[in-house]
Amino acid sequence: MRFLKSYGWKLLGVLLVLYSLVAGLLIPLKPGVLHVSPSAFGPDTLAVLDITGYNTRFTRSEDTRIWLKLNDEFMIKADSVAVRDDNRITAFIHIPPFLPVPEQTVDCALIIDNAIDGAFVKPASVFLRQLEKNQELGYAYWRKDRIENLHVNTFVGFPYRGILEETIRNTYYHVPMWFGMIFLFLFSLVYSIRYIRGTDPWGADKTRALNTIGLLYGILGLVTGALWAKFTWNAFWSMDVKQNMAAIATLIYLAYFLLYRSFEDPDKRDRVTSAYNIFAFATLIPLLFIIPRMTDSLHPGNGGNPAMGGEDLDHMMRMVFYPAVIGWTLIGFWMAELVYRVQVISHRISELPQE
Amino acid sequence: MDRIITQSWSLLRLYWDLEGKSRQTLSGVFLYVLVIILVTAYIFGSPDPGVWMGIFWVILIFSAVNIGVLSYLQETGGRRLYYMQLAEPLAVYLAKSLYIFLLLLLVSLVSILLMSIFHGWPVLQPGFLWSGIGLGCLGLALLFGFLAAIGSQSRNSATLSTIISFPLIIGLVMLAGKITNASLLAGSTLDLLEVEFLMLGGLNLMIGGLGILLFNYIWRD
Repeated sequence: MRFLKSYGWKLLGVLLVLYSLVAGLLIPLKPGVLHVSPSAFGPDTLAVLDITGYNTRFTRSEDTRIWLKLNDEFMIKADSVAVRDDNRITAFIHIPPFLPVPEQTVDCALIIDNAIDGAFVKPASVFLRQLEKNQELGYAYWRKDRIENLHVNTFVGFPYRGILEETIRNTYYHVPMWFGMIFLFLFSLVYSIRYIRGTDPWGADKTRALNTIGLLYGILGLVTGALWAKFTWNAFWSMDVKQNMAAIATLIYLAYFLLYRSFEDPDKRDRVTSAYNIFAFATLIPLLFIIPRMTDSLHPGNGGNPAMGGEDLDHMMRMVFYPAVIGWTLIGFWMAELVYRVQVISHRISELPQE
Repeated sequence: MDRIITQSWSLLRLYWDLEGKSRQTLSGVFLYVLVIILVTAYIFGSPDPGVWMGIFWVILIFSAVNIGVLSYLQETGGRRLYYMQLAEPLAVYLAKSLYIFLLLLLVSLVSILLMSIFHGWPVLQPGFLWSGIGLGCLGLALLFGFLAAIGSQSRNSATLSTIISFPLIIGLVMLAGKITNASLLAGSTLDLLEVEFLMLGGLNLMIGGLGILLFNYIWRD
């Protein structure tokens, strides 16, 4: 029991991080549509759509059905489909001469359904145009087919999303870095206040240890974010407001370490750096929580609230994401504790009488 | 409380008189302002409104750093000890911040005047410009009153004050810059900028409050 009491949280941290690594990297993605070609058709043609799927098993299911869906009311079904291999399928769709809407061009979602893969969608994948408008005739063509008897996807996996694809797993490693960093800096703020008020004589050393790991997490967050951005936004750095603010936040704490090193008198150093640390955390709040909400950002859920929205995490992802956040935060505190203990030991060694 | 106000007031007058005698800070800063304005006028001609505002804020940030660092740099050794015995830390902080604030306002006035001569005058709503400058200068003064004091405690203080203050001023300058940028548009109204004004005011209050609370710990030896 005593063992669990003092080491339990470390054990929990290790288990959760291991779980997030294993589950986050090994669980496959659900089936999705990688791409569709060609992507635009004129009126009254037989469209031959080459569809490339991802993690699909077309050869194993016999009843694959494909629709083009304009909106909830209007859709057309493919006349026939030809399976080429597990990931490639061709759909033959007769595009009607008229659209049921007054617009010249519309985009349709592609819906694929079969017993093995379940139903999945690629939004805005095919563009249709019409030369003459006849909404009444369009209604007749587009109301003929219904999407019904869709198979429920029983496949255990993370959602497949366009653009993101496999990098959706980075959610479990990039986002926890920021959570961990904020918690570490929050505790370092608490210890700075305690040191300055004289209630914790070791507070300044604890602050430094927590800031070391907090800064490490901040840099790792920037690196994982930049790699993710290269894949999804096509550039390591796109001057996104959150990227910039995060870079400034790491600079603020880099400045803390510069300040720390520029003092010779340890007492004065601890006092001044603790005061700076309190000041730094206070100026961090507008950078991380206020300015990003005032500006548009490429990050999900932005323009308003930068929190993780309900759309971004499904049930399966939550089962990995929340343990990952808790696990990485606990590991961060453990690392900070080790840094602190090394510091204390080196203090003691330097105080030993010389031979 | 009365004592703090009297002390701050006398310190402020002392700083002002000392500056009047040596003119070390102001002459340096004005030379810097003039050079930047002439060089940018040579490079940009009459720049776009956005660039105009950018030049102004760069001038103001570097002036604030210089004024902050120099105001503490002059107090070394004996003089510093003398101030410490003479006045409460809080009075020193208030007097310093107010002094930096006044000098910054003076620098803004002079640079706006010079820029209107050399770079043209793109401002359509001067009210937003001056309120943005006023709030921005106040925030910078409260920040540098604190950070330059931190820097002055260490060795190589001038470089250190600059390094530790730059990341911290970005949020402040971004907010103030948003308000001054509104002065370039004919359609800006107070309603649209309400959030920015509240945020900037809140940030200033927070910086000032923390400075007042923490200055005691960095000032005593």
